[in-house]
Amino acid sequence: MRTGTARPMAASVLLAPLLDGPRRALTVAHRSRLALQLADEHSRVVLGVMFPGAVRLPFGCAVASSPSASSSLSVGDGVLAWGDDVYTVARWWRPARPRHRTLGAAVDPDGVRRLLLRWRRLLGRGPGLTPYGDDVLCGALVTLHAVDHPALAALRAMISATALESSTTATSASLLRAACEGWCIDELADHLAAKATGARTAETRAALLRVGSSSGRGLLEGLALIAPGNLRQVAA
Amino acid sequence: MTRTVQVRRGAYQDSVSLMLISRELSDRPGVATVQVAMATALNLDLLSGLGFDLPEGTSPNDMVIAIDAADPTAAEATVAALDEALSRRPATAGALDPGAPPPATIGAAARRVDASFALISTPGRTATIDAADALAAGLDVMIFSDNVALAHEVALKRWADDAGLLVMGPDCGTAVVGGVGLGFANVVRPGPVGIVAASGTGAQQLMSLLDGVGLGVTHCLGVGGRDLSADVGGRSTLAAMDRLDADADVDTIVVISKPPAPEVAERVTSHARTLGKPVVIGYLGVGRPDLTETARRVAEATGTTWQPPRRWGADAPAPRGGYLRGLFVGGTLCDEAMILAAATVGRVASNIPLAGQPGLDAALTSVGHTFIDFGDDQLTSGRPHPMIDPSLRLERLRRELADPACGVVLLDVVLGHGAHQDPATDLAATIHGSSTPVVASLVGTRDDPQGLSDQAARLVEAGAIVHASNAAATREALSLLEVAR
Repeated sequence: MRTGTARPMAASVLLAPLLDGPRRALTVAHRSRLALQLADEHSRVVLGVMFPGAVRLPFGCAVASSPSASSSLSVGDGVLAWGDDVYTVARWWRPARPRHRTLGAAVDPDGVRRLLLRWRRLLGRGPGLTPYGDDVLCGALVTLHAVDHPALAALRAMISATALESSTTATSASLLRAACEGWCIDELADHLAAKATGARTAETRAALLRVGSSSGRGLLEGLALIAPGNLRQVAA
Repeated sequence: MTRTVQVRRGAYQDSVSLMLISRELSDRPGVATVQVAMATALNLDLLSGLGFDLPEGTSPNDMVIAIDAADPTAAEATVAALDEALSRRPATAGALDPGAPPPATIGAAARRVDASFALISTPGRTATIDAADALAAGLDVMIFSDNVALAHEVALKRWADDAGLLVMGPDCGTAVVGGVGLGFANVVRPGPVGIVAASGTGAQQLMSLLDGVGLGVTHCLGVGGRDLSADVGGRSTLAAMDRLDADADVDTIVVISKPPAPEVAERVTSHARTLGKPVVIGYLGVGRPDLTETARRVAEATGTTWQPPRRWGADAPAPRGGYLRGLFVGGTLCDEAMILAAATVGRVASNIPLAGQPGLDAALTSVGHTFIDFGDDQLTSGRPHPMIDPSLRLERLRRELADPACGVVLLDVVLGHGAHQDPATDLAATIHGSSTPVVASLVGTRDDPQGLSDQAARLVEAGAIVHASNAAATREALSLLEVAR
């Protein structure tokens, strides 16, 4: 049996390589009322610990309560160890990764061109844990991935070649890397699905706008930059 | 010693709560035995067997408290501790709406929240009413309860068919819905596989073997062990296959079942051809693939590299005389082992006999090669399932290991949520020092809370041979018998 006080967590499958790998030390990169962002030895945020009510980040694990205060923090060998608390996976979940090729008909080529020209100006622009410019970029990246747009490969290559941690916050850098692969929060995926199917978007838009202080709005702007209409409007 | 027996009329508590309380009280100083249970025939027999004098005129609605303590003071203190434990009320749905009384029915609960699914675990006699209430509220239903009448199951599934809903069960012990494990469920990673299972431990074996090769499962929809019978007609199986076909996260559908009625098996096979996704069908039966072979076929269908399931333990000892004794907590695992054993040794007796094979008497006396499913309805009425409460099987294991006619013991150990938190330790203590070989199938995933490797190590330290595959465990157990050679 594992030692320490066993606690359950629901973990994103994106954390599987980290949890299955050898034990490595982590540090707290950012702390808020609803979540903690944990960074590895390279100061990369690799794991978000989310408390009830938090937005579920693609690289997150949900726990029932705040861990005990301790500086001893590690992940690997199947557990997240925090002082005497040992979190094991009671449930795995798959983060959203929308695919809506039909939405490709709604893509604005000018919007894609503007993004390719101006993405560097967006990077790290704005205050907060996830700067507004990064949110816009994430929304656009996830939309390009959703429609399987050929421009994504070029944009992904340029972003990969950028020292993100020195350009923006560590948490935002990790969200950008996830968005390059199409991973996003449920609220953005739900809104994309509504747009792609021509369903009502009022509720999904409102839910997205409730994310963070301005993150939802930024994601929405990024989506609108690439696909300003929905399918019904395009067909009309 | 002081022996005390009390009966509390109409004081109903579920069997798992009473088992946990009994365990807790047994650790008190001056207490040798505490058994708190509902007064079902099975539990009364067990208490009589422990030497307690029981009053006449009890019913299964009564709670019986039997205490063997060092003196009257210890017995009284134990009763007081019992009252305190019983008064600890669990959190109820009322906690979602502080100040409001908890809902009295499933339908009332469904009206308070945006629910789409109900899990029912009430005694079998009343589960039908709760399930009907849930269907009327527009909910899919998982019926964990066993001992539900066949006619009730058919009626519920007809209703669900008409309403476009899904009834999972009765006796649906295992499900994974959107990654959430329900009942006895292993911790599996989401993946391209969706399972329809008319078999609880069969589903657990399949999920565990797929996990072993890194293949994830998004849904495992249990439908109850009778769904593919001629009477039920596979109604839930067909509905569940349609659900998985419509699910974008599922690429490959698997259907597994204990031996189905031939005409229903054909209906399911025909339905599979109408779906847009590949369907792997794994019906257990003579001459059919075992669960491990079905897992291999699923891996092949998904393009996953197959590796033979793990084996832990020393080299096999030399073959010996005697009979094979299979002691199982999983009905499907027991079925699978019997099918393989019968093909080698011929006659195998069981409390859940295969067609044409002998049954056991009421005392479950071993007759030659003998298999017992301790999870059978007859042995779980008013008691926790043996995956939770191992006491009945442990007692039988002691007897088999002491029986000179017993050549090899074959057993299953099932891990995951809902199961005993450390099943290997008690088994290992019983096996340790025995000269009779013990072969175990260990059904679990790398993320199960008991720790797959830890559990295997405990059994191996006690001298057992352990396999991740039940079929492989059975074959090795058979190879240890001279008669099978």
